[in-house]
Amino acid sequence: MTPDDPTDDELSPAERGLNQHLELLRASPPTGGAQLVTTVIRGVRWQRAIRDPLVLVGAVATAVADGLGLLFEPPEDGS
Amino acid sequence: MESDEGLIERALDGDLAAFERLVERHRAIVFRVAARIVGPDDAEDVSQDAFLRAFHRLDQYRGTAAFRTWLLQITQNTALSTLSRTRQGPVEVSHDASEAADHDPVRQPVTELERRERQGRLELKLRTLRPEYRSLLVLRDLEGLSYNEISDVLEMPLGSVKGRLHRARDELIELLRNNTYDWELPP
Repeated sequence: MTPDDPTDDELSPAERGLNQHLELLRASPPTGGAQLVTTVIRGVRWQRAIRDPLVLVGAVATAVADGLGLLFEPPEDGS
Repeated sequence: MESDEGLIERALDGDLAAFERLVERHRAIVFRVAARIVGPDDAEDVSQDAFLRAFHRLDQYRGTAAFRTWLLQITQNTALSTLSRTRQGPVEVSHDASEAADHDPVRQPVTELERRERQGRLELKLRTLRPEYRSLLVLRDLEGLSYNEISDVLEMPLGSVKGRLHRARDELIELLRNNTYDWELPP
């Protein structure tokens, strides 16, 4: 329904009527999110701060599990 | 003005200020789309969630479509999953037309009150549509995205976008026709 889009094919009379009504919404877009930049960046900082320690804990846990697996691995048949 | 691609590159190198500029640049459309899909009460949370997801997936952005398109795809998916999680019915519209009329009928001209009431009713009807149709109408008829961009946002073939948009409009027209309020829509 934008004039610059040639792919917009013909609208029925009802669709044209709807488009006129929708102008009410286009004219008054929802406003808000003024704090969005602050909250997003705060969230990114916080997630970054906890991500590295969590990755480290995960790596240590995996290494411990692998080590225990090797220690308590049942002997192979025929050895 | 630095391009989105330049800012993305810097953000990927750890420059948080560059990502901040991307948020600032696109926050209005992200908020509008979120608000129109999930309603004003959850719009801020959905927008924030969408930007955080975008940040963590920034290395997956391939640049085949515009950054805005990619971001709207994330926003749309976040909004729809919020709706399915909360199983939200029609959202109450917070327009205060009726309150204004009750508390201070003299200050606003009747035409303005009527306009706001129509707007509130229309928003409510829009939110009664199934979420997939609502997204399409928001992206095309309210935000004015091209069919190609919508096709990228929704990851849907162009023909399907057009077909579904047609059905979405038909459904909204029917909803309005069945409303007691007279929308004067021709057959």
